[in-house]
Amino acid sequence: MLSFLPLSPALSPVILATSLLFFVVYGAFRSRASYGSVAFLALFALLIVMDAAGLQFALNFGTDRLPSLVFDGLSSAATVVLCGMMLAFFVLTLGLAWPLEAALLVLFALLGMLLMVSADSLMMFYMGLEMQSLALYVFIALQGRQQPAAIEAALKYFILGALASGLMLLGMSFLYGQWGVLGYGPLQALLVQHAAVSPALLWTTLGAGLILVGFLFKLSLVPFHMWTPDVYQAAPTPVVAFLSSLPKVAATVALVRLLAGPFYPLMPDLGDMLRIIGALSMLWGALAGLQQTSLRRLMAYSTIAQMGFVVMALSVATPEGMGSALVYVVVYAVTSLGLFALLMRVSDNDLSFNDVAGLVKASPVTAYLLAVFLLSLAGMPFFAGFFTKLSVFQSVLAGQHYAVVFAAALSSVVAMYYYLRVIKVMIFDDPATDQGVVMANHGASLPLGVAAALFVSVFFIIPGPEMTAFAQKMMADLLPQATASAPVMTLPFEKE
Amino acid sequence: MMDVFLQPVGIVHYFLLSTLLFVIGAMGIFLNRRHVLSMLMALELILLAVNINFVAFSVAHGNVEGQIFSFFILTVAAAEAAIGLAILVIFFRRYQTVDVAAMDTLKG
Repeated sequence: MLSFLPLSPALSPVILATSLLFFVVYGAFRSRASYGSVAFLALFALLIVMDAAGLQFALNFGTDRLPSLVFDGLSSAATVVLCGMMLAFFVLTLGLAWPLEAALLVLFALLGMLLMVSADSLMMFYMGLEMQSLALYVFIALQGRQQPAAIEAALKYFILGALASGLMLLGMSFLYGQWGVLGYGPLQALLVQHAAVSPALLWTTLGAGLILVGFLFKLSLVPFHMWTPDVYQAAPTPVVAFLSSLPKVAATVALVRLLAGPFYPLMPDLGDMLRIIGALSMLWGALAGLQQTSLRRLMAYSTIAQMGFVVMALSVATPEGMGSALVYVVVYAVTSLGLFALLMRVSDNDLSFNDVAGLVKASPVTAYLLAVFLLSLAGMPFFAGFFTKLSVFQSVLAGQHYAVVFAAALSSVVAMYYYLRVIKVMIFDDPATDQGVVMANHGASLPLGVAAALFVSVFFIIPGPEMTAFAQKMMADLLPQATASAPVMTLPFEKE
Repeated sequence: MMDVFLQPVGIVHYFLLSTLLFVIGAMGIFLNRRHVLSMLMALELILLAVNINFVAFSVAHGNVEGQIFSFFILTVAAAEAAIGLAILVIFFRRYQTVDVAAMDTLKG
């Protein structure tokens, strides 16, 4: 039940929405309001939102349901993580000469994400997703003032994104047409009831598959990944830092909610689909990255490969698999925030390999920290990336899906080449020009990079084991109780 | 097969109509390689086709959830049109064209 105590379950999105309205009015009536001032005020609002979610979390409020919204451990944990990353993003961009609207747009996107992670009905989920996407389209297009290519990237992103959300909506209408409900709870009850007596229905599976298409787009998975390299290349570095971290976390949590809830009875079919897509993304992300000359395009392909790991882990539908997927995506988001924060010290624009050649001479700290992030993405032992990959592998192997694990291992090996190549260019090559790499000075980017690198390096001692155990326990609570005897699902070609 | 056209109008007909509109919209995006503006129109068509689905199913099921959703979709469609056109306007200002072929500076 909705409690009217100071800690009402919906507190965090409500605080964010209220402060957002305040910022809109502030921006409208104060002509000298700048990006920095709103971002600075937003820091406090975010701290309060984090506090509210964290308290709810610490006091263990259990599960609270409003019509079409649910507030439980998963949504408060996701809220804390998302707001934390948003804080880092604002600290990073506080000094930039961005227009005021940029701050409002990212906050609107954050509000959409908070709704996404606690959505309990298809309608609320769709509204959250659109709120996030529409704000991000404009956020990218806004950068066209400095970087004209960003306009083209925004237009491509918009058209593909709108198409993906149209397909997703069609899927929702199929589900609604067959069952007559939109809420996750009722839908799950109906599907479980039905699955007990007869096999999955065509329209339901089709509808669920179409909804997954929207997620494929948001998580930039093959075959809906085309926008990723373009946007990563064209948008300014801090924008890429945002796009590669927060929306991925939010989309993964929303996907977990769907797969652990209403789509759980459909998992044999959807799991196969996710595994095939995961394998394709991991392989394509690794192979297409090999021939890139632009550093940020390379990172885009790296994202595609990394997200392949996430859906691979999700596809097994066990607490271990889904828990490790959640940890994986959070670690990935922190790594990529840190990496792009450090790249800001080199340039806001796109970088070719030549631009970072001999970076170690201009700024050893930047070069070595970047190397830490790249090694972690590559999955080198004792960095966070290794342990998250390990737990993903373990959980997928426990489900006996050997083909997809083979694809993942292959992808890791191939991708290792391009990560190491960037490190080689940064540390061992000579600068391309005589004056070497010219560093830009962004106040907060170095401290943020150091903090993220610290997280990535000591992950296996301090937050890692707890995070993984916590995520897996949370998923064990969330998944239907029959998980212990989850059906073994195999790809057609895996069957003996 | 043909007797669907002889029956009184029912859920099947609405579904056929919305599928037809959706396919036209999707083809407008995949096959149309010339004009970005008509792509935006095709996107609107997709959303409105789904809206027909929701309203028809809502009546068939006798619950209003689908109709409520359709109002939200209308709102989103309006916002999407506004944002799409705004991005297109700055695109035109920059490139002096709205040809799909002009969107080719980013590749690799």
